[in-house]
Amino acid sequence: MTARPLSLYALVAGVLFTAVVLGWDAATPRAALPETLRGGGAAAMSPLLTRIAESFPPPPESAEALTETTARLALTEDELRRSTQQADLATTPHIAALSDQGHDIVLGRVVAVGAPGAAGPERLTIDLGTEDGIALDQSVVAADGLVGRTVRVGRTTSDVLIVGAADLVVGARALDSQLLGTVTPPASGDPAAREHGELTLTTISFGDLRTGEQVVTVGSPDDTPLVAGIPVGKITSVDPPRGRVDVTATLLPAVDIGTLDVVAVIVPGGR
Amino acid sequence: MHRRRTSRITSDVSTLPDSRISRAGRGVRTVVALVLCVVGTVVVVVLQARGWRILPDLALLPVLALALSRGPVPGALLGLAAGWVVDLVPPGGEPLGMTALLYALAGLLAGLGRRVGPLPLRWVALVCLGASAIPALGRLLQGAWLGQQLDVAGAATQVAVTLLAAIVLVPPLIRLDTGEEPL
Repeated sequence: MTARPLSLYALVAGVLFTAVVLGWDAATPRAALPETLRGGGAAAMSPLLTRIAESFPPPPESAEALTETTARLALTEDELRRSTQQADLATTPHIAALSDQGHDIVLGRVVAVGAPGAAGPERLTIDLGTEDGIALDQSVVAADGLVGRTVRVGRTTSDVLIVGAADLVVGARALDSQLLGTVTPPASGDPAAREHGELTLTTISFGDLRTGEQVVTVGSPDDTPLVAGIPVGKITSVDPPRGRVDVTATLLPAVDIGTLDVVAVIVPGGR
Repeated sequence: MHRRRTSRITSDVSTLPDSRISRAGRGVRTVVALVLCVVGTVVVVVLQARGWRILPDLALLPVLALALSRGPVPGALLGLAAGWVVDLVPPGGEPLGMTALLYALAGLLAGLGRRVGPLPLRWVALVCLGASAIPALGRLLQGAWLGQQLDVAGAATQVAVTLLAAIVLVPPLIRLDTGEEPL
């Protein structure tokens, strides 16, 4: 007769504890207790996940070379952008500081992809960690473009928040029209329905956005979390005007998460 | 006189009264179920990394089996534990604890479908359908709360695939929990 009440008490205690952790994690990004629990889970399971990943056939050398080339191209554009800005704002301390920084490119493989959220997968795990010089809030790219940014870094693995996750807003620039905006997952208030996997580009000003236009990252201060010039995707359709200054469009992501294998993490300031 | 022929599709499993299963045996089988949840979680995240897009909720299946075998409270407890496994195995869930609560609810619902005696396969399927829809519905509600466009078709497909896997795997798992030999 004692087993049943004990089970019930254990269930009530477990549910209360879980509710507290959930509320804490939802209210405070990177709160102490949730991050400690995530770190513990990663420490326990990462060796197994990396061991399983090693048992899969190695990626072709061309895939690694292509990924590294994409990362270096993005960095070249970033350097070009910096040079232009330096010419205009040579005396700005922030730009001067940026010019002194270099980058390292660390290649790794995807070892796990998390359960899909309401609109698709939001997190994945790569076999790179602090041992490889990886830190929080660094850009992760594939051969085709931006994958996301690191949000948890363990000793041997890191979790990456994928482009299209609810918590990741990417500052972006359309290459032809030079319009700036943000890339987000499709929202219920968007003027047009998006297909599975498509994203929404919302510009911050009015302009002539065109179908087929490439969209790249604008980058972040100190290249954290995102480096400039990484392809984010291509515009597949422009939404009808809504009488507002901003323009919205459907964006097809450059990277297909389902076929991802080799990725590169851009480590700012490592060169 | 014409006699109507009735057929009853059973899953070849039956559940036992609580008194017929020892506490030690229950403990060992609970640990086995939890280990199966861990294995299911790892299989899903690794296969998704290799490009598999639609996979059953494998970690949920031992929860459904144990809940159908033992009732709502043990089902909810194992659901809570299995959900924590899904939330903590990298890359984990967001926000932390969401899957744990949804799996606990699924285990509770499946446990309410417990019957002592033979379990018809259609009853197992019905309970598994209802219980496996809970995590999918929860994620859709979370997306709606965040103002996202919802991938309802994807969620429905995953529930259907989980149901198919449950029809195949839950009866043997119930057999494992009750210690019953296959017929």
